[in-house]
Amino acid sequence: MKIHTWAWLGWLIAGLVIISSTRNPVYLIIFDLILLILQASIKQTGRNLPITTLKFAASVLVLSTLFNTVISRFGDTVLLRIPAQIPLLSGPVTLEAVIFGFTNGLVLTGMFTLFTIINRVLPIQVIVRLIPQFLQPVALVTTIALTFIPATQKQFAAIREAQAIRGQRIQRLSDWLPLFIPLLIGGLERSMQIAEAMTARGFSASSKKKAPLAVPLLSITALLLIISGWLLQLARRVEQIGVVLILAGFILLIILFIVRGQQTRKTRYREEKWSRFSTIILAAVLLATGLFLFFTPGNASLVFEVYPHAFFPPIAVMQSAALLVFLVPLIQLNGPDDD
Amino acid sequence: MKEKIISAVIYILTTVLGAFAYLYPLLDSSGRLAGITSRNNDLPLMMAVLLALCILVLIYEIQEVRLSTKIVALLGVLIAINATLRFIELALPVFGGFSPVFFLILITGYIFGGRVGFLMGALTILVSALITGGIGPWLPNQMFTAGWVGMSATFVRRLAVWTHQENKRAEIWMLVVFGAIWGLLYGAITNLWFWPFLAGPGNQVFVPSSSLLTSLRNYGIYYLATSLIWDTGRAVGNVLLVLIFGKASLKVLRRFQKRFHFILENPIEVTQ
Repeated sequence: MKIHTWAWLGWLIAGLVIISSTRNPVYLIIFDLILLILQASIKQTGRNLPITTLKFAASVLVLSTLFNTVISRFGDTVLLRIPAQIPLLSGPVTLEAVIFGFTNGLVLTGMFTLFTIINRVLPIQVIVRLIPQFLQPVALVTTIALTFIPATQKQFAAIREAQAIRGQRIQRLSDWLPLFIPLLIGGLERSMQIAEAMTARGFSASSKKKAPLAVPLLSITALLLIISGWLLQLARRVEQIGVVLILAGFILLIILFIVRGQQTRKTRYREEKWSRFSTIILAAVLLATGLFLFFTPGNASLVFEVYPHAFFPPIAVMQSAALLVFLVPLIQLNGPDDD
Repeated sequence: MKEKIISAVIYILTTVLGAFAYLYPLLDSSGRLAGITSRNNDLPLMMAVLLALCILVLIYEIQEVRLSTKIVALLGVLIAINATLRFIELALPVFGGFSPVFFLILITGYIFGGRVGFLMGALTILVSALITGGIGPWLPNQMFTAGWVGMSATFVRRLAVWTHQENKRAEIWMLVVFGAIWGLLYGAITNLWFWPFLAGPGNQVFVPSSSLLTSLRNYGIYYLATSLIWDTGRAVGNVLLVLIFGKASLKVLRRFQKRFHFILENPIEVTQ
């Protein structure tokens, strides 16, 4: 029983909400570990450990901590002092700066791992299918590009082989010219053939009925609403009106996109089935996110301000337990397909 | 004419909104964000949502106006070539942020215009992300900036036409300068996605409630300290690629552009 794409997207959004809502390093460590366990459990050719993520996490944590440590001069707990002779960096190195930088690294690692998991569990064609219906020509361009990448790679290898037989060796950047230009010409010739084939089969993007003038005018109105709302927010005069204007702009655009999207017919070779387990995952992560954010007894532990004096971050049982729910996909992650 | 004006207004508004998304944290001198950034990490995500919206509006507008079967096929194949070049970039040891993908984005925008250039930039990044597993909240930011690279190339074209330098050596030098500028600018803009995220006290980080000038100065120091050398690699790469491949590639693309836009001088009359 496979997990439905939209259930995975729900899981992703819930994860992003969790990461965005706290700077408590303990919760972030727990959440990052949960994500790493989940990633390590994904059936992947040959590799059990999420090496890329671990490398990324190590580099980001080290760099982020180091960066903040050497540039931030705030905090009460002084660890050492950089001599005044060193420009830009001189001054006290504080424990608070170390913790702040480390927390930044944890957040970045969490975001990266969330998306790495999504990239692994959802095939490319499923992601392409997520391109909204109103962007049908763009989805087509993307599909053509994805389809032609293997062909382009083959063509590149063939050109390289042919040039090598002629005695051409790649030593400098200019040696790539006899490889690149035939690749470009070959690609353009192929694009002519594709265009002719598309026209012969009755496809013509330009033959579509043109959108009425009201459509671009509505886009302009929506953009103006968002910009003016934001400006009002910045001015702090009438913040609520600003929020209303931004929301109105967003809603207007969404309605416009939906209406335009409905004019494009979308067909599927095989419809993805929504399973009971997908419902369980979606409900579980929504509930867990709600508990994490709004469960009052532990809610205060989400706020963690390390400056000016470091202290051990507070931990609440309910919030920690809510994070464990993100492991639920493990139950069915590598299970058999239902087809 | 009316459609052109409306189209131009949409481009300007999305560009303003995109620039605004990048600069929003810097403009907040009132300190409203101070409370947000010290506890939450939602600023980069907010920015990603806003930029994604800008991309959707812009792409939607472009496809409504311009996408014929030939352009659809051309873009598909050029993006496939660019994604293949990205593999080469990943496989070979390169200096700093050197990337061959910007060259094709740049000359496509130069020859086929800003709209096709924007799509070329944005979709190259999207397709590369799809095949390398690089989808994330950073994607709208990269797509939008790469789109700007392609879209702004049309200004170089206009400058070349205006100064009567088309098909001349000076045209290549204009593209060289343009490529060098974007090599640095791409890094400077994309950094803004996570720079406000490094909120905290210091002289290189985003300090909520500080003035615009202070924020810009802090960002300048941060950029010089962390990104300049990396981005120089990209700028030098763009310069070399335009110098070495520019002339031949422009010639090829021009030849195909003529084939794309042929006009029948004596159209055949169809009798029924």
